[in-house]
Amino acid sequence: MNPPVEPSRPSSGGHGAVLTAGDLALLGAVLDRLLPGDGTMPAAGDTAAAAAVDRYLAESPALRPPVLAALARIRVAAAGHPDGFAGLDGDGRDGVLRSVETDAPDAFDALLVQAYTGYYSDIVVQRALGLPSPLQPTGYPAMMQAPFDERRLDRVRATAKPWRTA
Amino acid sequence: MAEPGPDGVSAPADVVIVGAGASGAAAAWALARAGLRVVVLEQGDWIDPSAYPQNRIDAERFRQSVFNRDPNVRRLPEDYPVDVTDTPVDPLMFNAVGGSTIHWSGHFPRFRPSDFRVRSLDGVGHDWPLDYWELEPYYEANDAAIGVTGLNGDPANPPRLPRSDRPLPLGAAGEAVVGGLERLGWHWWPSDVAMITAPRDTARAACNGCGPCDLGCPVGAMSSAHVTYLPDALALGAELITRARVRELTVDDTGLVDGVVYYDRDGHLQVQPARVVVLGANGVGTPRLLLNSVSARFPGGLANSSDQVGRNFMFHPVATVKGIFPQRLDTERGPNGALLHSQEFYETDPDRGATRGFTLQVVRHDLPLGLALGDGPGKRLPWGAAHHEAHRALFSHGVTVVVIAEDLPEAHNRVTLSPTETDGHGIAAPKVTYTLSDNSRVLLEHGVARATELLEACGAHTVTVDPFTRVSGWHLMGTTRMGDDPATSVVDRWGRCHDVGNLFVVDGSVFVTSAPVNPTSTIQALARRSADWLIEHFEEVAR
Ligand SMILES: Cc1cc2nc3c(=O)[nH]c(=O)nc-3n(C[C@H](O)[C@H](O)[C@H](O)COP(=O)(O)OP(=O)(O)OC[C@H]3O[C@@H](n4cnc5c(N)ncnc54)[C@H](O)[C@@H]3O)c2cc1C
Repeated sequence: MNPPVEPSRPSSGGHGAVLTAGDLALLGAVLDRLLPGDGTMPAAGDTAAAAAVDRYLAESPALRPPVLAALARIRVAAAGHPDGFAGLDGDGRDGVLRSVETDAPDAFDALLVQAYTGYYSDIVVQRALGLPSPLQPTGYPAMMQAPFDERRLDRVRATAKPWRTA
Repeated sequence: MAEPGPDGVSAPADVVIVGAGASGAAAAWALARAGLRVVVLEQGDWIDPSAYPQNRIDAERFRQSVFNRDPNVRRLPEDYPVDVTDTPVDPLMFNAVGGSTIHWSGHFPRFRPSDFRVRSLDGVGHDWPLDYWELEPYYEANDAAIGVTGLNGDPANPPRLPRSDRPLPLGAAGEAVVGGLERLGWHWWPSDVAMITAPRDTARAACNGCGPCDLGCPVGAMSSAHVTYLPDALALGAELITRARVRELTVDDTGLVDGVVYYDRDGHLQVQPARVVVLGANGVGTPRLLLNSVSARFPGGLANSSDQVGRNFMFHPVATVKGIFPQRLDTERGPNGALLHSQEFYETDPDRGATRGFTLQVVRHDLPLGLALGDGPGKRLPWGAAHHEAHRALFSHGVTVVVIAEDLPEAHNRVTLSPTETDGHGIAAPKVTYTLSDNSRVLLEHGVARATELLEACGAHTVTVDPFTRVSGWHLMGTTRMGDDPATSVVDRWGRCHDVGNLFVVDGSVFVTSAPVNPTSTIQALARRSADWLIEHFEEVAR
């Protein structure tokens, strides 16, 4: 097994390895509806999630058909607006996404999995959750050094059924 | 099987071991230490410690691909597919140096004395041809060799020596669960875990609690085969050949095994002659290999005159019960699979309407991506404005109780050869056929009810249940069972095949019954015991 490749930050613009510049722009807008920011967590568009999804598609060709199909479906569903998905307001965008979720559940789920994966694999998101990012070599040494208080077992020692002889 | 001629024939080994996992490594160490010329053949590779996902910010992603527990998801060249068209449980394993101990949680309970006597005590299954006390010295020796954290003194189990490493801290999650257990007055004990909490040698650091042990342990804290027995076996002169996929065992005119035929890393066919062959390819890989080793003398597969090879396949049927708590429990921290367990319901209770029992194993919850993805399509956390609130309610707020029920041997639950699937070398893949018995179903139902009661007593505000978990085939047992009668068993009390006197099985295939606990401490103790017997009788049994 080859060591996995360390993820890269998003490129400054233009196209990705698999996704066109248009795809990436659409994906960024979609990600912001799937994972909007709130007071604590960043919006997906403020992370490197879109670039990460492009990289996953580059690494795993089998992921491409359903994810590209989901993006194509979103484009078609938003075609009523002259500016497409980007031209819709928040409710309009959510409506488009819901229609694709209903009409093409497998493709939408594939997109959602990659969106969540890109988002929760992002250093900004992990820091917001209080994780060491990456998990190693830091870990949680303080927690591991806490002692085990054996007095917690006093009742069990006194009352547990003994093992059955055989 | 159609025969391209071999490309190479190696010098004969005293012992060829197939598989560098928990059992093969333990046997390799013991046999090499006794001065035997040991060759271990392993279809996988060493895993470069820097390749473990925990070194990367996108660690969890690798659960979906190359570090998945399921060979049918990974589909790496070193994996073989498993035909699962007739089983409700997916068999899980890892194919690398270290075998499935690359992925395990290291939960390391022992069987109890009663587990070896289920026919005598409860009228079900079969008794083992050995008892707990015969195995006890091997349990102790194995624990000491690899390093086990925990605490001796549990009144619900026979006494054992002090553990090499201090028990894992309870943390906030453990404290919450212990509160419930104390309120209910149930048995509990911190788990024995095959892991170290203080550094052992230069290659093994203490566990720093990074979390997802199921992605492998980058620091060598988990007492897995590739950081314990194997390096020591190699230092003692054992030879390990990686990316060596054994196709079949071959026999001489007298019906003894004379070696194995394997595909090397470049796809060339090689012959490795041997005086003795030891199989440690796990409860699916070993029967597969025997059934693929067909000859004029053994048309139904090797060591199979009883028609028992592949039969009596046992998983531990598993139900998963999750509790969500109002307070933060820090469950993203610390080794995820091994917190504590309750053996309150371990033995047969006639009021349950089923024989034998179950263990409640308490494990930590999940990392952020796993929580967002949930249990698959349709069970993802919602997208949109509601997402973060839903995630916050779960992340670091959940504890899972895994109900591990004892499975009893049934001849129709079995490993056969798949009529449709082959591995990358064209070798027939194993097929698992399994049905959950009524007894196991009743045990799971009781387990779910008790786990729910526990989580509620601990203060969980929400409890969700997966009553029979599909992705839970961690423990692969029973497919070349041990016994005194050659008509109903494949190997004798020493793991030696009744039909083929220089062929041994040391993995979980030899289990007679499954007990409601994780199997690997028993697998390794048995492997060490078989190896000791073989050392003493080598010239008698070797060809
Ligand atoms: C996710 C997960 C969690 C687990 N958690 C626990 C736990 O907490 N506690 C516990 O006790 N157990 C646990 N287990 C089970 C434990 O890992 C196994 O019981 C143990 O590894 C079995 O040892 P083994 O030697 O029989 O087989 P394995 O460790 O599976 O090793 C078999 C080896 O044989 C090799 N092999 C197979 N066929 C061939 C062939 N034809 N040619 C060459 N090589 C071959 C394989 O590549 C593999 O490396 C877990 C397993 C998994 C998957």
